[in-house]
Amino acid sequence: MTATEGISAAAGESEQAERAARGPLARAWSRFRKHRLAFGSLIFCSLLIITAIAAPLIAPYGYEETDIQHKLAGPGSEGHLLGTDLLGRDILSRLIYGLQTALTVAFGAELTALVLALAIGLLAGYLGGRVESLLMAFTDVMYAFPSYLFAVVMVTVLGRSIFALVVAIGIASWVTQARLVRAQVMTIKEREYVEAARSMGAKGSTIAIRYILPNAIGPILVTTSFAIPAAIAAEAGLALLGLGVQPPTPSWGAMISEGSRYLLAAPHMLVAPAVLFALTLLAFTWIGDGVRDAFDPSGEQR
Amino acid sequence: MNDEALLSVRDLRTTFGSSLTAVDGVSFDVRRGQALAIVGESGSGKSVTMRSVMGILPRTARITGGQAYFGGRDLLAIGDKELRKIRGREIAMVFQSAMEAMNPTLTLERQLTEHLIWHGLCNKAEARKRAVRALGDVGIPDPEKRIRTYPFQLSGGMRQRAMIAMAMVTEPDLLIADEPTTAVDVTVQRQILDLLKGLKDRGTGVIMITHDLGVARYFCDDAVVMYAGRVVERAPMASLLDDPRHPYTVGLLGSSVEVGGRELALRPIPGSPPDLSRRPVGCAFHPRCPRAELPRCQTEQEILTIGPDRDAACWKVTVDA
Amino acid sequence: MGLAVYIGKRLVRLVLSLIAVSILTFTLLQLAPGNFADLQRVNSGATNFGGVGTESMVGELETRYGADVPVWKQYLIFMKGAVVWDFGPSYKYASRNVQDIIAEAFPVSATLALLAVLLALLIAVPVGVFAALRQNSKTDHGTMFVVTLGHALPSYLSAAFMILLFSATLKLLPSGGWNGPKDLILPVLALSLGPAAVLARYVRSSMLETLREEYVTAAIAKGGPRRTVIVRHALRNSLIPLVTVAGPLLAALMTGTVFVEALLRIPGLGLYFANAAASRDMPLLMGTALFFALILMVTNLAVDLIYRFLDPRIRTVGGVSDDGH
Repeated sequence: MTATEGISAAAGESEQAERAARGPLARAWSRFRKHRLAFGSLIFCSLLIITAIAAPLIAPYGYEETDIQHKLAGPGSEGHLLGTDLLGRDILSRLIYGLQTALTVAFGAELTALVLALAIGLLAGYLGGRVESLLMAFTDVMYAFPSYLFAVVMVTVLGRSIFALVVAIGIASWVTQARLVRAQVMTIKEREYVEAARSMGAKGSTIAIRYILPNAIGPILVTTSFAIPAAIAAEAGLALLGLGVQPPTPSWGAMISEGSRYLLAAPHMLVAPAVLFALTLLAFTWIGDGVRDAFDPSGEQR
Repeated sequence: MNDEALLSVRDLRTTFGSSLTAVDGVSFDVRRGQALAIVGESGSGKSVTMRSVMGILPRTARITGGQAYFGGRDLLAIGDKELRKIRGREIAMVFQSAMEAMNPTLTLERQLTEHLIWHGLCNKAEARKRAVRALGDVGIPDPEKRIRTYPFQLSGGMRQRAMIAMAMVTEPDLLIADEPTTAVDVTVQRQILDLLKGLKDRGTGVIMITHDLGVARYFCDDAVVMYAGRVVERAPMASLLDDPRHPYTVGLLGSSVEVGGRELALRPIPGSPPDLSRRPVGCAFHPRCPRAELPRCQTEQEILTIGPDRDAACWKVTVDA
Repeated sequence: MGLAVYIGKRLVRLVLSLIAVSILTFTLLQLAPGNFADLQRVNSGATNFGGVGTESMVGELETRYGADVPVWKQYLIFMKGAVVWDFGPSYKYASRNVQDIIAEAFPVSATLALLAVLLALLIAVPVGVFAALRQNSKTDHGTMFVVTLGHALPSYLSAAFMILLFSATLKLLPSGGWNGPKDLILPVLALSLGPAAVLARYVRSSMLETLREEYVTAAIAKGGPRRTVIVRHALRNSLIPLVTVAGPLLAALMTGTVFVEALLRIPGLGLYFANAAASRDMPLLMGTALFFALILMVTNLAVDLIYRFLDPRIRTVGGVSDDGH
């Protein structure tokens, strides 16, 4: 080995050691930050979330407030940046409150799904046996039953509230994640360090939480980040079918549906929600891409 | 027999990516009716050498120098369109595993006739007749019936012979066989070698790529030994076996399973071939060489002529003599 | 394993899953506020229930879902009917039986789904091959970026953009309704984008994998013209597994046209399903849900069988022998 080779090899080793010293999450984060599209999307989505939380402060009007003088006003008209709808309600304000609906439902549903998936996936993967066959049987049924059908039935049962949507979408989407958690647990629990911990007398719950969960977190984060835009789309889709939140609470899906009905008279009613909705979905999807690449840097973009 | 070389490769250089040189200044000749063995461990560049000549390298590889004369034309310079007329018609190739080199979803008939038609050698009906005859020639029983089957429906040995028939159906002047016996068992190995020997005896030039000198000695006239992308020894087969000069060849002979018709104890060369992106300075073999002397072996080593038809790339051979 | 045994096993599983789906749906709907009979009374006012010559229908609703019929019996009656393709009358469309609504509306959804999958294949195969042949070039990355867009946007959002472009701006196509062949264009286009994206990605990666196969190299070594080798040796073999992806996509679309139908006011089964949910038309909801599940499972089974016939390696059971080792 020549002198220069030696130096570069040593440098490589120390870099590796440094990388290993930081946790898998820190490594993923440093990779994520280098993913320009994903990082930009993260900033955009953070702004969206802030907007949704601070909706009453940011929105120029309330979502029910009507301006009878200016029904169907075009974009850029006085006081209404994006125009007004049929009842003279400010479209920008309704979009902002619709964002609140969309994000509340999406995050709520994914949290529900995640908790369910983690609890049942960990149980099934760790205990095996009856819990596992029950989960698999249930999964089979759910696969035969498109999740949106299930969500529709759930909303019929629970009524048209934010809570109902959270539960309906959450329950309709937890199965895939539970299967993923289970698969992760199955592979990880065979690894040596888990065996070692078990041989030293660690309890099942300790092993599940201390050893298995942290190692399964990458794939779970990846699916969850892709599930968020899916849940946003599900909320809007249900609203489009007339099964979303009870009006007048705004929802993008309902706004798109309304806009399509007055397409020729007032296309701006459709343009604004469609564009914002598309941007939001894309941004969340790109975050998902970034998270996936961050946890699986070798995987080629498929 | 024509004494002039059928294929003459000079200073071939092939690189992968930006810096990895897989083949580095390789030269050899093969004549009509003669068989040349290119011998080396995996990763020595022997397959890449022949794939360079055939123009079937993966996309990341580039030929960066050298010539390959075949029938008065430089295969490396004539361009893909001209090369295509030669590939499969004048130079044919046999691969290591017919399981992988034959398309699993096409019948033997399709695969044995398509290149006859591509090259405009005959019409479909005639192509079928020639394919049946070729299958018969390689010893496949009931070729009329077998031609309608898919490769996976044949046994391993038959599949390998069918692949040779596929290569031979156009009656090429030169056959390149890339480890044709590695994926088959010993009895089939013998049959395959006999087939190739028969072809040679009928005047076809054969290049046999192998890691196994025991296989190479069976019918090859000359041998080129490659290590880390370079030729380390070149000699008539008989002299090479009797009196190997390069320490690597000596090691290879020692690790060859079948020498002189009976099995010898396996004495593998210690260590493993170098990662070509971190090629040892000087003679690439010196870190594994039992006779290495530093720092002399860390200087670049030219290939030296050490006798009629014999070269070796080791300064020790001149000292020995 | 014999093919008959295989199909038999799958059919048994299919029936069991259907029963599970029916119990699940029925139970959930029982949990909905108010029982069937109450809803019926509520609905009867709003939808002119029993108004025009449907006395026999009202009678049948009473025997099926009347307040004095216990829940388990309601379920059994429903399932008994379902087996012989008789779901009984709907609440909302009280003069019509559920099975008649399905028979009328499903072909609309199925047409949309089939055309959309065909269009998706027509888009995806050339795009995927094109990208694969230029792997890692700017064209490849650009194409795949566009594909990601198609994948990320739900069909109804694509449909919204399309009516903005083709109906509102260019005034070329109707913005919805179901009156003629022109009304097919937008929904089919909108429905095909998502599947096209999935398929294009699949074709690309499958093609990349096949191009690395030794038999493709061998075909080139035989002097094959580039295009012939790509089509006959690489593309052909990359497309066989495509069936496994296109099939489930078709199944998903058969039941997933609902949003586009709702946006473009197309009287497909999805629209009826959504309306049934909105108006709590339990018989129609149960009937369509069960029917959707059946379609999904039958399509998936059919895909599996087709795949077995397409690939000679699977078709010839026991033909694979890898001796010599």
